[in-house]
Amino acid sequence: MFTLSRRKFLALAGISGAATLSGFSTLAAMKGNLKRLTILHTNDTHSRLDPYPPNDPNFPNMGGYARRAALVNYLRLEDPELLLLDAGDYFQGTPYFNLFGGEAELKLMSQMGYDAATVGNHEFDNGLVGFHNVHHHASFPFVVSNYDFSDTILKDVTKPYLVLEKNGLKVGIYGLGITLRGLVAPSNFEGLKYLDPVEVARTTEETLKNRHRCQVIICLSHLGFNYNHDRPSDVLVAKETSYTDIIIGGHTHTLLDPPVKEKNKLNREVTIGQTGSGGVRLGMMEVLFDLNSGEKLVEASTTKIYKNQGA
Amino acid sequence: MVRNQRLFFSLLISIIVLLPACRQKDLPREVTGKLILLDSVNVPIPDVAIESSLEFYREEFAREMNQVVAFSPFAMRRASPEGLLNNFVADLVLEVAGELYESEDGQGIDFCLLNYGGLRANLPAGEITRSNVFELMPFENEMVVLTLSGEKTLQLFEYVAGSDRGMPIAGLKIGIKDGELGHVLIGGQAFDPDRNYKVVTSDYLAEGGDRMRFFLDPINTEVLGMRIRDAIMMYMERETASGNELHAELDGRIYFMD
Repeated sequence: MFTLSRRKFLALAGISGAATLSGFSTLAAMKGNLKRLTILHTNDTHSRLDPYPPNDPNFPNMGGYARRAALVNYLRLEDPELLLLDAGDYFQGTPYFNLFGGEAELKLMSQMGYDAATVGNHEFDNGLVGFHNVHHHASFPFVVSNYDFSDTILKDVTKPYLVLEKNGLKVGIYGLGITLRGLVAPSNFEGLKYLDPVEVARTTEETLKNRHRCQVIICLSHLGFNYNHDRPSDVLVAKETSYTDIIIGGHTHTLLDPPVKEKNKLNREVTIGQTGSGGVRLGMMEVLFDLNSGEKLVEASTTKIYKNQGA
Repeated sequence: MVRNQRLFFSLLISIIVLLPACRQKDLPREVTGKLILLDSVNVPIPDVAIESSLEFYREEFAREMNQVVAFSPFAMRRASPEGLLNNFVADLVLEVAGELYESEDGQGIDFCLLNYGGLRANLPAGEITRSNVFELMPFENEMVVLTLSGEKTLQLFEYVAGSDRGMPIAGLKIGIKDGELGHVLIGGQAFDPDRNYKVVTSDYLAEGGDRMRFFLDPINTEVLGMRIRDAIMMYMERETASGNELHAELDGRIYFMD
């Protein structure tokens, strides 16, 4: 009956099969002893409030906040407690940002019901002051663990981590920002103390795991997916941590479909996701948590795409 | 059609291989994921509430941004080692900065250097709107004039010659030989390592952005008090007022030597 009502809604909303939760979770839900967490994620949406124009060579008529919201709302019918997260750089890229300084992005993300976002380098294109001027338009928290704003105007504006309860699961979320040197004019981040992302990831995941007893730990990262030198990246954080389950990434505009798996320090799997840029795609992950038997479910792997999305 | 078939196939596979594996109490989670394309097939009806919230911003956008400021007979794209857009922007910045600059020592601006990554969108052929200019140069960066020693100036030329991306320059002609600086002319003159040079650039690059370290600790920094975007807008409006279409050309200002 679950499937039937979903199909019915599908037909009503006109949303195609590609945009539904996987068969995997439907089967899991039938088993009863499983808890499910659905995570929807975006990154580098870059002020694309409207869909790309019809004559865009890469993404004609694709994306846009209203279309994203329609899909999120639809998926909420199936999992009302799903998480909606962003990995930074919602600012800059269209004149909406020049005209409103980020007010529009934050108001609409709030209306869409984002649970949390981290901060990307472009959030500081108008300086710490520019971010301070608009941050109150967001009804969701900004999570970043390795930016120390205590000597700046942004003191107390961001949170080092969050603990939420979703579908009976305790979820910990922390955030990692990229070094702003070379990306943002120094006068635009004066007073910010940058802390080593890997070290901060380790201490924060430890806190979430042991002090808050989180069952799922998510890192919202704007470090970038991977580099061929040893600059901090999502792959490096995955390898160097022990309790982080999922990294929602950004900055490098990388398309990871499906998400990439890396082994952490304890040889367990970390899942890394990223959705390209411009809000053309919505990322969706499902975490299954077996409270009783510890039975492990394995899913077939599909074709991997590792590339940077153009434009 | 193809997408649905593929989906059905992957669904089928995932159901078949759902396997009970060994009991691992400390490893109770499985994570699966995918990306969903936000096109009119997957999501034909955008959210009405968000659409209505967007209305205010769209109206303001149209009022502010849809005004036509110039006409270009051809599209201008950024390219390497030189591109129409690179040359267009660097030339106009050198021109406008030259008009604004009041030199204290009588020496004018010698040349302009901007960065390839700072050209954020190409300009279309035909009508150019304010929106096009904002997308080309969305940042609030200002024009600054730096006085550099001969030594730092040489480092700058080496940077331009060694970069795999076409740096927007004006007032310079640079020959690249085997990926390095082979030849340089400044305003048609040979380089003199014993004198200082004045370069107009953006305050972002002047602070060392894009690893332009030769800009750090200059002999002198002078702020012109105008954003680069405003310079572009002013230049375009002036050309239009004079009845001119926009003009740009490839003139081999950065070239590969045999």
